[in-house]
Amino acid sequence: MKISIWQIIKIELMKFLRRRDIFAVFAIVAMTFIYAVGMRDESFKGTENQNALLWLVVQLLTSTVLFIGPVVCAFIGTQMLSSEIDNGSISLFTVRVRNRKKLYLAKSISLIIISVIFFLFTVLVLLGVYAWIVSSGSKFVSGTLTGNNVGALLGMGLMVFLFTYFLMPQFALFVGIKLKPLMAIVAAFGLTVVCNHVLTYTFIKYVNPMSYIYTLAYDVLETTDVVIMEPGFVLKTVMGQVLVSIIYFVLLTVWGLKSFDRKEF
Amino acid sequence: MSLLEIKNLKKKYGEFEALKGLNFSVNAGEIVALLGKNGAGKTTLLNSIAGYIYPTSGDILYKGETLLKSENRLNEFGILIEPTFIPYLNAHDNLDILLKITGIYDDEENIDELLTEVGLKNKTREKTRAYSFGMKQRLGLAQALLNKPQFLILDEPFVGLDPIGKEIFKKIIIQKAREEKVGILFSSHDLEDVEEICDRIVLIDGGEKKFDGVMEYTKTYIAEYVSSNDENKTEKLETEDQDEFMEVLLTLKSSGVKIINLDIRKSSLYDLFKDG
Repeated sequence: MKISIWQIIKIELMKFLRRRDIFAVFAIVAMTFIYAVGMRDESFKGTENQNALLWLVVQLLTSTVLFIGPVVCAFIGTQMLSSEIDNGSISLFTVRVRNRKKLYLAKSISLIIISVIFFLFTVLVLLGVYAWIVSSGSKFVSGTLTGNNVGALLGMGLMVFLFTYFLMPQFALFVGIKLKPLMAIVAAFGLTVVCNHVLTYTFIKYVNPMSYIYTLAYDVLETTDVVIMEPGFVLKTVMGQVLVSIIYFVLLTVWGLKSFDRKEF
Repeated sequence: MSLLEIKNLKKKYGEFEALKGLNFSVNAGEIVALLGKNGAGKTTLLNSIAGYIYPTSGDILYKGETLLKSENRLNEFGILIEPTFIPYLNAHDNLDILLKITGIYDDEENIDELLTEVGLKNKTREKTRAYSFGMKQRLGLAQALLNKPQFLILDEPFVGLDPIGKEIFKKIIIQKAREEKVGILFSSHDLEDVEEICDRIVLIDGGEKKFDGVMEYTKTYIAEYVSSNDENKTEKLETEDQDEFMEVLLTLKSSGVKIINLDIRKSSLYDLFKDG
């Protein structure tokens, strides 16, 4: 009997839930809790009257620039393939799903779904923490959902999602064909470090997804939510990063399909 | 027509040739033992059939059709090569997920039956990461039998098993071959077990086939006696011909020669294994 891509995706999602990887979210939001405690007892120093959206984007960005987000998301990616190659359980699939390309593609699509679930769960937890700060009457939070620059902030949220929650797991999935889980995570960490440190070089800034995030971040966050961003500029920046992310995703998938097809276990 | 046919199969790792053009076949209902010293190429061959590695050249035919290009080629196979599981799932869920990969849903009865058959009835809810090697072998056999295979590939199936486990495995293997006409190819270093259950032996060494056939066991009759020329010396008679042996023995006895020792040595699989 032939198994469809959708059936493999269902199995992968079931495995994701059984692994309880979703709790890795708490590693991402650990830093947020520290900020939250500071905001509640007013020992925090920083922007006051933060609305929920601004707070959310700042926290997502912080977890990315501190490498926590990319490393945790890379870990999720390694669980899909590298770990299975490492413990041999991949053979359960390769013996029965003879079309390796179908198997890799199903894993890649599953990982996108998992990334979305993981991101939404992170957002939910972060909003929960925001509500917890609001309940203390802290001056650092306004208690409102949005303020200025909604488009720019949503765009930044999307870009952080694409870099941290979408590309990093896909990168870990790809390098996991050749590397053991820990080494795949180290590779993802290394890539994040490089992306964070080559932001302004002439050509590289256009192919570096982090450059686009910083371009908006400087303007939105440095001006503490006061300056109104020009929508055209925001759109151009976000679309630039979306395009770069799609190109990387396609490249990683094509290379992954070829590499996994040739892989001997 | 043979159920499985290995045709001029070669596998190279760089300059090293692990398989040098192997040819042999396995029929339905036949138990074939694959023997060879460490590094002979047994696991490379089994891995090639299982699709874990790609042969450099040659072909593997199943029911006359090539296995190397078929998408669902192994759906009729049960494979036990190094038992592997999803470590965070228990035995029952591992089998359940395997059924789903095969495209079969909700066959609880089959799962429970198999786990009972391999002696894991009371361990079904334990995570497999906590299993001993012997328990993993048992669950590995259950995995191999899950899709009611028509061909079984077993790499060292008796390793790590206690005597009861071994008996269960042998019984299942024989029953599958005799009653369900399953073709079975298994490798083992446990020659006593091989002698007990196999119909045919394929011996490989250095990636080449050295023997393919039914083991013919011979008896060698041995008599040790005092030399008629020198009382301090002993002579030895060795023959496979029983009549000749009896004749010589009677002649020796009638001429008063002192016989020191009489022995019958049965040839064993070890002789074949040792001589390659």
